[in-house]
Amino acid sequence: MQTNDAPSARLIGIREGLLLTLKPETPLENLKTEIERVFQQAGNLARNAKVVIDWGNDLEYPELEQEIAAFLVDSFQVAMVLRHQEPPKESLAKDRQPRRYDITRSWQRSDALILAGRIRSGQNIEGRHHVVILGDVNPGAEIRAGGDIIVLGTLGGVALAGQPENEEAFVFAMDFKPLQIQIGRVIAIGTGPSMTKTPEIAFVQNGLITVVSYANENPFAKYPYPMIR
Amino acid sequence: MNGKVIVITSGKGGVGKTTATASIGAALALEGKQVAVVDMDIGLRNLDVVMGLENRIVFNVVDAIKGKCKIKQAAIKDRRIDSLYLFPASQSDNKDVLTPDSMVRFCKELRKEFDYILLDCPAGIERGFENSVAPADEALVICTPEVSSVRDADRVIGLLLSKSITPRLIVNRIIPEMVERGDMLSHQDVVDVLSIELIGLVEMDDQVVIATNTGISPVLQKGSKAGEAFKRIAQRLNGRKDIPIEVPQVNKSIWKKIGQKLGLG
Repeated sequence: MQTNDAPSARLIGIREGLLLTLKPETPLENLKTEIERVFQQAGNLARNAKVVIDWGNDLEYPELEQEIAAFLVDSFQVAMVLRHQEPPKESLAKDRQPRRYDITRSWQRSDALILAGRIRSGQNIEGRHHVVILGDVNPGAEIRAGGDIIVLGTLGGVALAGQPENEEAFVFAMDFKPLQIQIGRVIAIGTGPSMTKTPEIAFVQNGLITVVSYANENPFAKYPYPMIR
Repeated sequence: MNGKVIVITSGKGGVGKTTATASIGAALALEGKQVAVVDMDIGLRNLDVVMGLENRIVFNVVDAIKGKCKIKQAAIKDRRIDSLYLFPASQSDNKDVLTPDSMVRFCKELRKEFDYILLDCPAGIERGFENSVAPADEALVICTPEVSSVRDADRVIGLLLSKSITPRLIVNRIIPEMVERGDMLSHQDVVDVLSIELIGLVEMDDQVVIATNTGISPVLQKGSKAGEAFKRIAQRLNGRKDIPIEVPQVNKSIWKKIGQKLGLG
């Protein structure tokens, strides 16, 4: 049955190409005549165009779609035929994000260079990402990392974290008395051994390097869920 | 005989390498060993002066290695200790006349004649250091309780470890009074940073200055604290592991002790 008030095929131009709106309840023969009519109106515009089919509802009609796609390619030399899809709603995805951290165990990898032993004066350690030293870093040694630097021992040398320009990086040491610290492009000179005798962590805050006791104000404790560094 | 080659090094200059070489060499010779001490500081020779043998030099170590003389001709016998021989450095050449390979060959010859061959390494980590370290079986690192000396010793230890030599540490010129006041690093601070085996602690001793000027080794002087310390180091090198490491102590007079007890100190 054919209704006269609205045509069963309509063609409009969209950014990706041509949007062909069809009424799925129309018999195939009628649809084809209607399509023929609208495409003749479009003329050369349809040649090599990308045609997107919209059925006007959420249902899928795979056989009908195949039939029409073949017909369009044969009769009007269109480049390709696609089905119209709604873009996913972003707000929903954002809400799910935190929960995903809790449930998923398939972390993407976090790269770190882990070394055990004493780093002596004149030795330079260079890591493209994070660097973890299980041991002491003597004065005169230099650790350079693309990410964070973690020293499970005494840091007495020079630590350059977040090289060349990642100011989100931090430097952590059990005994924190470096000669110099550099995070991204921010530099600070060491001020000798600290009085606190606790592990300390250095990070950039308001463009300056700040050193705090890790035991007293763990800056990562405020994160609600685990994050990859 | 298959002698042992021991290099004595420090990285930094002026910490007492030459004095230690002469003293340990003399002490080992007094233990009845055949000892050769070789001055590797080509161009800036000192060991001959410290041992009081400068006026007897005819040939030097460069002549012996280059084949200008026999090895025996370059050896100078000590004035007092019969089994101690010095191979003096050349004063007119520089460190580049020797190569690590030529030193390995030279020491191979010396091993046949001596129980211990002590190499007095020059300051620095360049050619002279490489020449001295190449033939060495063992290494002694000398360090004074100063930050700069510890820094350089740390670097040298790293270089020695990379050449598969595990060095042992001598902390030289300790002044117990300053350590007690907190004005000087204690030997424990030094060992904490360098973290290698300690073989001896040597106290600051005025006798060493006198010994250096007169050419009579401190190990031959009675009552020299440094001389006694070097003797103990030599005994430990010689395999006497039972000898304890003595920490230099402040010796207080009886009146001061009484004063402290009474709260006057």
